[in-house]
Amino acid sequence: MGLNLQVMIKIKDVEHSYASGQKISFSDLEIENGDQWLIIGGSGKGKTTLLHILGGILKPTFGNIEINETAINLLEGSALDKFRGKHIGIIFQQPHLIKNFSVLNNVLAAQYFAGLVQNKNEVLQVLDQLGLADKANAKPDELSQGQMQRVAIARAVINKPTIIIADEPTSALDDENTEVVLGLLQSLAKTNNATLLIATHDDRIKNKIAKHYILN
Amino acid sequence: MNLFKLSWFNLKANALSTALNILLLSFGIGVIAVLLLTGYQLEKKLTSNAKNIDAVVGAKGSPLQLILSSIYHIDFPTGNIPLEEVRGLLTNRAIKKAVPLALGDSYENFRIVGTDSSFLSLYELEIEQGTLFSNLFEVNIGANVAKIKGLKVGDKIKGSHGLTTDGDVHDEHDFTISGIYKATGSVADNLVLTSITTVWATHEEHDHSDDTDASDTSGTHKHEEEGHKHNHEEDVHSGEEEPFHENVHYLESKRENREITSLLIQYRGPAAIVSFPRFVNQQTIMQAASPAMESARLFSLIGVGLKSLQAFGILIVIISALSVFISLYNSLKDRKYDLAIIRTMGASKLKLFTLIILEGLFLSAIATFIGIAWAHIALEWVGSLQDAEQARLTGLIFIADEVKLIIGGIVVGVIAALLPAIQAYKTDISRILAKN
Repeated sequence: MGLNLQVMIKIKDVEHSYASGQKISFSDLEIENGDQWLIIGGSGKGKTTLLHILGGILKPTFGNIEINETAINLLEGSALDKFRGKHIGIIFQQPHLIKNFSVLNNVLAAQYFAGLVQNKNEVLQVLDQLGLADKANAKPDELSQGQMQRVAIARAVINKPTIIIADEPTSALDDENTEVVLGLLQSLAKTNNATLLIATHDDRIKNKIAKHYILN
Repeated sequence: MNLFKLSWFNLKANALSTALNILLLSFGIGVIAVLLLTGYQLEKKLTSNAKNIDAVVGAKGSPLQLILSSIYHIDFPTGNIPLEEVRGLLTNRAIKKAVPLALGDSYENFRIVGTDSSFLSLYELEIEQGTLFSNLFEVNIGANVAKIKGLKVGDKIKGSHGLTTDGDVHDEHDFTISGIYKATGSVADNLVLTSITTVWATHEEHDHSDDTDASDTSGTHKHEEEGHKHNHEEDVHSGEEEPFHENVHYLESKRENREITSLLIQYRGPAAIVSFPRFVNQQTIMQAASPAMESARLFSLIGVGLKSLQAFGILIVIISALSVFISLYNSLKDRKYDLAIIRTMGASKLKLFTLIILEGLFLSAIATFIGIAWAHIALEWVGSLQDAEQARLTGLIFIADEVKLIIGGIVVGVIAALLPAIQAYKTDISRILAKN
């Protein structure tokens, strides 16, 4: 787009109507490759809705979403699932790990469901980066909340997605863990050259990322 | 990591309800399997033992009892028939073969049958070791008798009077085993065969004690034998009768009032099917019973019981299918968030559908095989407790219907998983993930 760097995410004329009849319009936005943004807004302002639309989980009622020059609002069924698995890493407020699976298997599952080759060494390497090297064989219930959230991050980044989106990733964490998790997210996004989008109303992280997309 | 592993782990995660479902379904499958195996074995025993026999002629009474005692060697005989009557009947042109039976004695749980060589051709028996019984007090034994009792040619066995082991122990007589038959799979494997003359002789021998018990079914009580090596002080008979020094054929017996128990008849042609029984039943003091008719009647009686038990088994299977459905449905509610996350990782709707179906499949496959296994074990165990060698059940055979049962059991699991699987397929992941 002109003189800009490569545009990774493009939001254009996006509107969403809920079953209740309530309608939200999102202002247009273009995000460059490797950028880090916060999506800020109080509850009910559509943070989660926007993240779901960007993650290909929800189809907008109107408008276009392009990710890496693919109009994901036009993708259907398993093509969309596949695209999401390969290109988008998603982190939720709760880690929701598969409880009977070891940490290792939880992360391997992300490779499996994205249709990629399962590579144990790669997983162990990512776990190492997240300070979980010694927890590979632990079950989720043996981990602290912060550790579980780090496993969720490992799961989101293992497939080297082009964009990482996180929905309130720190709201369940204490100050110390918030700092650690945010730091890890930022540095992993950087090393993987991924675009990072974090939806939050957590004041603790507002000053850590400069670019804000505000919903009101 | 794959779908099999994931569904297996999900089952393990709900170990208690998984175990309950497996228990319930395997019980239902097991009950049906036991009934299939029992019905199959009973029917096979009923038909194979009667296959060469068109009619049984014996004393009047219950025709079913006559068939049971003379063909299957269970139940007691209806009584005896006089030899003169037999001689008269044997001139009947409808008869191709008539095999005489003299019943009433036993060796442990095995029945001693007095007969002649025609019995061997009727049951397609062949001598494996030794020779056919030819002298007095020589017997041949069936393959099972030899195997279970560990007997060989030349061994002596003690026969007792009466058909149960708790009969008169003092009425024992030594027999010498002269031959052992090859196994045929028929009731003959469980019999001790000897000549009719031997049966008569053993009774002559112990009848000297004035035992005139009327219930004695092979009764030759009123005859005593002075030619025998016993003290016969009280003998009432004179020596004009044949001595039991040699084993003459029963039809050559010159003594009066001789009796046998029954005749197994093969017809010369199909014309006799109607006329022969009518002739016997109306013109003689004997009766003729058809094994085909009586065993069909018997099996239809047992069949009613088997059918209603089978319905019970099917009911249990249906209940367990419902239980599988409820468990899967509930566990789906617990992990709908997990499943949504799996979707965000790139899994298609079809993968989630397959995942739930696999869980139902695993559960029902395990339960079905456990059910079939315990059915066989239970039946073999029941068989080992059975006294009557002739009707013994075994768990060591497999029948074609079990394949259908296995397929049916697995299909039940898949059907139970179908609705939850469709539910998983249709999940609106955005809505679930938004409801945090």
